[in-house]
Amino acid sequence: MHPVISVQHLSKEYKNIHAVNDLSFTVNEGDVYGFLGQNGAGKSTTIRMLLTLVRPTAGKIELFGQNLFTHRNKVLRNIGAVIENPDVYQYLSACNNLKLFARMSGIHPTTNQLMEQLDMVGLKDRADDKVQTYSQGMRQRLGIAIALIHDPQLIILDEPTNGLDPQGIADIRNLILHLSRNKKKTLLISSHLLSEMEQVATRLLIIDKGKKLVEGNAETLFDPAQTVIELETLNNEAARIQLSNSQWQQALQPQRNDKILMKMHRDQIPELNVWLVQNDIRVVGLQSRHSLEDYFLQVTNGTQHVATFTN
Amino acid sequence: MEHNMWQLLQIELYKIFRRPRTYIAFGASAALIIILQFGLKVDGSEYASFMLQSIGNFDVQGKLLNGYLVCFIILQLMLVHVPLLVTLIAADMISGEASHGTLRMLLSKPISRTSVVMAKFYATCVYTFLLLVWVAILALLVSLLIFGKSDLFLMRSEYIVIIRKDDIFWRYICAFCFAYISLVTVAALGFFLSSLADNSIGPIVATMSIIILFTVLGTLNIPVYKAINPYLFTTHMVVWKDFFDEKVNVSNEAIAGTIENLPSIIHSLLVLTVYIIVLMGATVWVVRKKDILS
Amino acid sequence: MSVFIVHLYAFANAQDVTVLVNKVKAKLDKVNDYTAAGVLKTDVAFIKAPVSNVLTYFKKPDHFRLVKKSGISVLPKGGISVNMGLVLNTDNFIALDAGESIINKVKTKVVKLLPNDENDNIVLSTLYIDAATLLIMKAITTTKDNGTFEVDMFYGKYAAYALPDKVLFSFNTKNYKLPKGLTLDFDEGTNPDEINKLKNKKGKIEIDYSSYIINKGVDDAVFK
Repeated sequence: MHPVISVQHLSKEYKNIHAVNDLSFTVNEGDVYGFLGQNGAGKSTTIRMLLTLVRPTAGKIELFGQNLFTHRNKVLRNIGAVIENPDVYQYLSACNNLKLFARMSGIHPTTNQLMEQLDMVGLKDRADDKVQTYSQGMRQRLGIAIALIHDPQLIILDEPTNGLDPQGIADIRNLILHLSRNKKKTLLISSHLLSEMEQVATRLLIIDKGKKLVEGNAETLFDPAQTVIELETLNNEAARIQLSNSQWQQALQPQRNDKILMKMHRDQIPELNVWLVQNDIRVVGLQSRHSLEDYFLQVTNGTQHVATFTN
Repeated sequence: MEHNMWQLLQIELYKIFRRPRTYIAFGASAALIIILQFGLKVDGSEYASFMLQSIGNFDVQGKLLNGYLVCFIILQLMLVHVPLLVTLIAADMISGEASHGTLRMLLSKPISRTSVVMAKFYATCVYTFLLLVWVAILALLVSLLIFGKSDLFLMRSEYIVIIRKDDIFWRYICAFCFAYISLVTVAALGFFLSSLADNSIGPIVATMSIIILFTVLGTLNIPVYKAINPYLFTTHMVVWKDFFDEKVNVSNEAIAGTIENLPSIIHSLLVLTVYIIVLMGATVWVVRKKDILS
Repeated sequence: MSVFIVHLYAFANAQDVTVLVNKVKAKLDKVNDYTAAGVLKTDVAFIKAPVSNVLTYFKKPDHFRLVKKSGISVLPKGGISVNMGLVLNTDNFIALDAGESIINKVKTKVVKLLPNDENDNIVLSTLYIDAATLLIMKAITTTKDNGTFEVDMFYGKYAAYALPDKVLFSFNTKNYKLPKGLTLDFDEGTNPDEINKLKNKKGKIEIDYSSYIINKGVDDAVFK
């Protein structure tokens, strides 16, 4: 069984800027592959290389076990993609846009099939309206309908929740889950928000400055045993001393700022809370997040850390 | 290959003819032609006598301002106009999609970039053809309807040519075919510039600027520019007029059905064809190499 | 002395040629009007015109018109209308003997004709008259407005009416203004030498008449 995507030592250089730098990763069938990084980390460039829009400076890309560049058309027929904002022909209706792109993918759907597809993304009622009258969310959904019309095995969504309201984001999330669980599709989804990926991804890749930082299964990366707690009290100095002299000593982490940083299993947090009250430590704030998110935040704040995560 | 060129061409044509801009071109040329026809209908005799002023020693009899002459006048005046309308579409074909972000959708489909470019080019050629047919119908057929048929009296820079009315229509057909090749050259230039840009205004302005620059260089009587004249495509674009010049026999009678300088027309056609091939070759090369970042 | 003799000779012969011219005129006067069909050929260096069918109309005393059946014709102003009837349409002239000449193998009398009327457009005509047939074989006419024309006439079927089968007008195109590209022609100018070559040529217009309808009346409307 070939992996759906196999990228090896992929690089892209633009006039001395390494947009993607020796990147390797694998997406297996059935994965919902979260592709994370801050804006400019090289996500879009990588996705564009997967779609043959950008020519790699070096490296190898195989999709469905076939070299992308020698079997371009055959491979692309099995991919549906929404790249950044799904820009479609503004002067055409949703239905006509869908029909046009379906033809470009080599299929001739009936009007019923087109309508079905638009119904799935909730655009059936507006199918005959010109796209220029659509909201950002509607365009995003139309983009997804276009990506799916030719029933591809691999679906690539580049920042699919960009510019959407909370309801729109929830809709997209449900759609991703539906495609993965019910339609058995493989998805590659890029995002700059870890919280978004946390809820859908089965595997994750985090890149920064074109380089891989972390790749692993979601269960491992979101391990509850690796929950990070940020504690703020009325007197952090005193509290820290008290904690270091208690059973929580092991959980204490080196300080990053004036807040107290701890790492423990999620289940231990209520216990910590009780202990703090019992020891008369006045808590101003207690924030918990799993360590991946903590790590990701640090990375995206520009602080470079060496990855310590393993599969 | 599931995608044959015909299907891609249909898609591109569909896109062209779904855009309002396309019909503006048809409307604009119709408006211009009708305005000219109206003016000539109302004040045509003034125009004719103005024309004849320079040959005051001669008596010109007959229906000077007939449909054939009106068509000729219109075509000369539309020399800049129609290339502009072709440019408006051609120079937008690639860059327009880049600026609207649809190019990345298009080029991530299982169709080779060469096919996409060529389908777009052929679609532009079809558009150009239809625009020219439209102009031909309005400028020639409608003029013939309004002004009637008679001989064509033309003043070239050195001499007067009179072509019998039954010897003109085929010349217009040839002239329109020639004009078509000229316009396809303009389209190819627009295409090439379009492949270099990610916005549509740039290539449109650049294409028009080149046409104007070349035309100006071509009319300048400066030796250094005269030397490059034969290589400018604009020099060859006006050669359609040579279809309206006849050969004469030894007693200086015009011979019906002849063209004075057919080799020069063929030469110009070849130059224009070379332009088209080189520009389209370059366009395909650029697009194939291009990283789509729009 | 010799000058005087020449003048005297000329005067003496003027009487004879006046008689001759009057005879010719009388012959021409037999034709009140005619309509003639012919073929017009234009041989002017800077005009490319096809051969065309024309009709000419004449009515006494001085109406003449050439009409192309359809289409466009370009003719030197005035030149074509120099009809022999028009040259001789007045009795008020002075005829001078200018010797003899052979025109188309026919011995002709050369007569200089000066109209007495100051307003006449014709300044001077030189007629080459075949005295035997009373036909004008050639005429060189200088007009006030339109320069000098040569007219050669060839007679056949209608010689009895002094109407030629073929008329050849020649004129110098040097004085004609060349057209400038008023039709917005941007094409390349030919070099000046060629232009002069074009200018220096003689222009010719030939009409071959195939038939005349004589004295059957011509509607005045055609001359308008």
